[in-house]
Amino acid sequence: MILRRIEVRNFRKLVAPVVIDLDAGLNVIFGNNEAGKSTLLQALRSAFFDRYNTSVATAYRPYGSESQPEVTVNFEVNEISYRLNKKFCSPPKATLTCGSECLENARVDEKLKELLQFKAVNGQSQPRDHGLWGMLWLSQGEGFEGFAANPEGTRTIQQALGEEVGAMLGGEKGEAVLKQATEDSQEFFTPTLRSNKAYKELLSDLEGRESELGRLKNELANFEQRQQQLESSSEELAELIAQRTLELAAERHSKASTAVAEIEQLRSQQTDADAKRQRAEAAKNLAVQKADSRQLLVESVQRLEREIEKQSKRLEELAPAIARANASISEASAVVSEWKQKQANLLKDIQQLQAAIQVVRYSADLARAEASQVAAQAAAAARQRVLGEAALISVTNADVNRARKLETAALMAAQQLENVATNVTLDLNQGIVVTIAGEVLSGKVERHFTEPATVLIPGVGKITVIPGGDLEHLREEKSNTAAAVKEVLSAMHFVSAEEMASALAKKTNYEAEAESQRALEKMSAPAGIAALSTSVAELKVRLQAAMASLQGPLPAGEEFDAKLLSANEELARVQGELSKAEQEAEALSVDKARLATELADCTARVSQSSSDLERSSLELTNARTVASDASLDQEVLLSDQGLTSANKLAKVVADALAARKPQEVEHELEQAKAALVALQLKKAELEGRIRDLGAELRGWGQKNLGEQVRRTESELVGAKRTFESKRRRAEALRLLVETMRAAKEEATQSFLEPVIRHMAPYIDQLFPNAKVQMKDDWQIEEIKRNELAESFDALSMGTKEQLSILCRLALADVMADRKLFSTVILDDAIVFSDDERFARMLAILSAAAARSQIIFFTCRTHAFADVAGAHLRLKDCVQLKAIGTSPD
Amino acid sequence: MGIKLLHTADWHIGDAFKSIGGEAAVLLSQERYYMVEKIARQAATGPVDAVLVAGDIFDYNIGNETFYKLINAMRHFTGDWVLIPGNHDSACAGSIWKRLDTLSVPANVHSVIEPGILQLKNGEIQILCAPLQHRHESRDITAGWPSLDTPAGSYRIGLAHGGVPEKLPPNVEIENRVSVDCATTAGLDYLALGDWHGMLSIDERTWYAGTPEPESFSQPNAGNVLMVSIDAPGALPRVEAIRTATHNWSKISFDIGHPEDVQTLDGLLSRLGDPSAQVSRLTITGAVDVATRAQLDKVLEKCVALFRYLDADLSGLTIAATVEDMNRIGAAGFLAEAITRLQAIAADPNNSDSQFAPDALQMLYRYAGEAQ
Repeated sequence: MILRRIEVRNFRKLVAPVVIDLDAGLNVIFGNNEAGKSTLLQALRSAFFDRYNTSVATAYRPYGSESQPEVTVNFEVNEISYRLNKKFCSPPKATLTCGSECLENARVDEKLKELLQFKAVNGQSQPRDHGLWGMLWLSQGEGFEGFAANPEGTRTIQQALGEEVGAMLGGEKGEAVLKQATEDSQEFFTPTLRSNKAYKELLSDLEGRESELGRLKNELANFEQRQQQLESSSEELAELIAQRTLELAAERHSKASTAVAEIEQLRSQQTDADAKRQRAEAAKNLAVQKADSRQLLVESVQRLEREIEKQSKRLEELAPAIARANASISEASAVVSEWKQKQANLLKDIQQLQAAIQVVRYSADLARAEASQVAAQAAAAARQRVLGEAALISVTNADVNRARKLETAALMAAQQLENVATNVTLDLNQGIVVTIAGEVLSGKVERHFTEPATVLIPGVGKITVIPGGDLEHLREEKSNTAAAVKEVLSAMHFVSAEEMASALAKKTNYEAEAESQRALEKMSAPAGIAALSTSVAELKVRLQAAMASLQGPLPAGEEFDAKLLSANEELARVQGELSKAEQEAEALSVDKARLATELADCTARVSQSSSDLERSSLELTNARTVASDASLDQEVLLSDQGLTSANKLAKVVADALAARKPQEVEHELEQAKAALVALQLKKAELEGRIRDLGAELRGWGQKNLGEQVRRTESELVGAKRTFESKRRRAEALRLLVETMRAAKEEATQSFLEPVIRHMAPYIDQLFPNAKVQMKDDWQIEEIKRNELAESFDALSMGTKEQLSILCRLALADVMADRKLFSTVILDDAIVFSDDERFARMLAILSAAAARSQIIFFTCRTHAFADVAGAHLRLKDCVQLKAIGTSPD
Repeated sequence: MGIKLLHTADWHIGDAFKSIGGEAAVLLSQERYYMVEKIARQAATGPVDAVLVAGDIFDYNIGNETFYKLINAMRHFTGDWVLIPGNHDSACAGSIWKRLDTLSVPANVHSVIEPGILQLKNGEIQILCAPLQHRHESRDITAGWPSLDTPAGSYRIGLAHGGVPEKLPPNVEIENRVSVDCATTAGLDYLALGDWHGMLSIDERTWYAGTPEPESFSQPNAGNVLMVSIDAPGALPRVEAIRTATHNWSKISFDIGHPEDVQTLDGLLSRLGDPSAQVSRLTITGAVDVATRAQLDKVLEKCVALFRYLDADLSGLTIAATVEDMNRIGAAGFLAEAITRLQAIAADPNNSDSQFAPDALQMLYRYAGEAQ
């Protein structure tokens, strides 16, 4: 659709007729606030989309007026021109003219619906009812709300896209199927197709039943196991009784008991024989012990006698050895004393030599120090003298400079005076003389006069010379400068500046001399003269001390150091010898001590052994009086015979016992007894178990476990079948929804592609490198910039507004591609944009206007000044006189 | 004068029909009591001298409640009932038989749990009973019958539970053996056997009554009781089968190749008889288009609602959407794409969703149809 002309009157605030002719491209319609721009858009919408006889049209009347709102629009659809006129309110009337054809009233509305594809509603229609035009015409202040598609508009675009993507869309049927499948899937799944609570409960119910069945089966298995146990216990007991096992075990036990009693009797006999044998053994041991004791006593006496003899012999050897040792110790001590004396002598010599060396060294040091002291003191005196000379000359460098400057000034003043003096040259003949200022002159004479002078020419008269110019001032200058020179020089008692400079040079020489002397002093006494004097005094004291320690006069000769070295070497040798002698003496002392200790030890042993021998001898004598050695031997022999006899008897009894194999017999008794007890216990246990199991099973049987298991199994089968049926349905629904969603998503992406493609260059101008993500109804979902995605809702008002406009322009482009030209109306739509974005949006609008008609209402006159396209002022479009627009 | 006996066996009271499961199983289980009522009424109508129940009266170890329900169902016949335990309800420790002393049992109900002879009608009828005290008896407990004396001129009737290997299919596992010539060697007028669920004659004096109400898909000749008339001791018995079954258990395999086959199947299922008495397992194979599958679903939906039990296995039935299917629902765009994808999934055995794809397709068509 392209709008060619709009005429409005009596429509709300647009009371006076307004006639606007529009271009196919960009139309910018200026109007101040309240000028009626939005009213114009409303009038357009009413004309196209409201029924001609709508009851809401009274609201279109100007406030307080009964006049008839009227809108006339000239437009083209598919290159066919139409003229629409709608007069609202009583009497309502609509006409639509196309060439020679003219439709009226309801047929007009029908035709409009057919042409523009919108949803006809009773009452006030809303943009959502206006099909594509509801999507492309943007009211004031709605830009940032994004893009709202409506079914009719969507259908129009789908039709336009036609063959390209038509096949990919499922249309309403696809949507209906998907909606129904999705709704049904909610019985089992969440919207994202995860199992919901109900579906999970189905499974857990099944698991619960399985668990219950497991429990019951377990219990039943226990029950059956008990039955089995009862059966086997009963059989076992019956077998026990049938085979007389218990009686046989009792007989075996009885036999074993008898055999064990016989064994016990033999064991008693064996005990007696063992006791007898033990007694014989004890008697023999006693006899042997007595004989052994006697033998030990005899041997002890003999051993003591041998020991006393051995120690006495050693005592005899020790006395001379000790005497020899004492002699050797005396000799060694003499040697040590001799070496000690030599060492003392040498130490004394060394001390004298060290004192002589000190005397010589301190004497030399003192002589040098005293020479330096003298030199330093002389230098100090010389420096004091030249400094005194220098101090007498008070001239400074500045004084000299000043005097020289004054002299130059005086010279220049004299020169200037000379320069202006009157020059008189006389060339007097021979014999002629003249007198000038008393000076008699002859021949060639030249004189300068700086003041009037008289030349007396004898005989001729006189010539008065009066020099011209400002001689007075120059003379004064000369006089002043000369006076100044004189004053300065005389004050310093000099006659010239040169003389003054000479004096200054002399002073400088004095000062250099003083510095030289100071260096000499420093060289002689680096730490100062006072310190040097102290050092001299100290050296004197040390020298005196060294001389005092020298016992006697300084020895002759001067090679004290060599002598000292030699003396020290001798001392080392003597000390070595001394140490050796001392070690020998010490070794001898140790030997002697060892011999002395051994002597004491031997003496003590002899004493002890003698005492022991006396006691043992007495003991032996006493014992022999009680029993002789021979009687003791006889007693041993007799007891040995008694023991042999007892051993024989014990062996006879032991052999008899062994022959009966007592361990085997006892083991048999134990086994027989255990077997009997076990069988008795087993029988009792079987009887008890049968009784208990019978009672238990009787009670347990009433729980009808078998029935419960079978019923639960049956219920589980039913539940499983139900679950399986539901699961199949659920999974089929899930698969259906998943598959349809995936197919739809792909179709949607294909469907959106042309719009996104057209939008891309606009986006690139406004947001370089950004990409938009759209929902299937062209709503912008998010914009991705630098890989960072932002949802549309999170964007700024300005960006939202810009994206909304771009989306509408792209849709219009898609339509234009298919020769279906569209009108985009933007009512004051770019209000939140900054200057830069605003400028770019204008460029985009200009470019888009090459493909679609764009009508832009604005109150910003200057902002659009540079934009190409038709520029209209709403107030200029107001007709001063009524226009007759009715086709009739 | 003669005697008249009603021979039945294998009631399996308490069977929970776990192969069926669910609500149908509960109903089938409850209807076993109705079956007993029918038998009692039949016995009363006879009238018979006694009802002989040859074991497996209970499916398993049952509770007192079940026992009392059974006694209640038996009330319509006040004559003698002779019950012996079989292998399913052997008189082992913990079984109901061992607690009968604690229960209230009518005097006309004789539960025989020890081998021996039960005398009825003042000794005119001698019932030689071989109750099973264990699930498996290693010996033939009827083997001692020849040595059991009964008074001359009395009816000598055997009542036992076990298998006769020579007369049963070779693949049947015999847990408790009964000699094939037992009736002859024991000198019986009639041997009433239980264990085999189909009615079967071993010889002219030896019969299996079979279960009076079928409880599986694979048991021929089930659903009867036997009316046994013996005119005099030693006379040959006259045995008449009386139909007692309520339910018809059927296993049906059906291949669908054409849309018309659905109608054929519908007719087949309708001809089975009273739907509420049908217990059916239906296996459908073949390949159908979506519309045919939708028709089949309608038929099955109806039958599932009306039958006592219907298990339809459609895993062997493949579904393929045809162009007509697509056109019928006006599938285009992503809807058509989804159909193509679901068909691909259904045809891909490696896709774990392939088993659900046919149902998903079917749902899609249904939704699309509803949206039209």
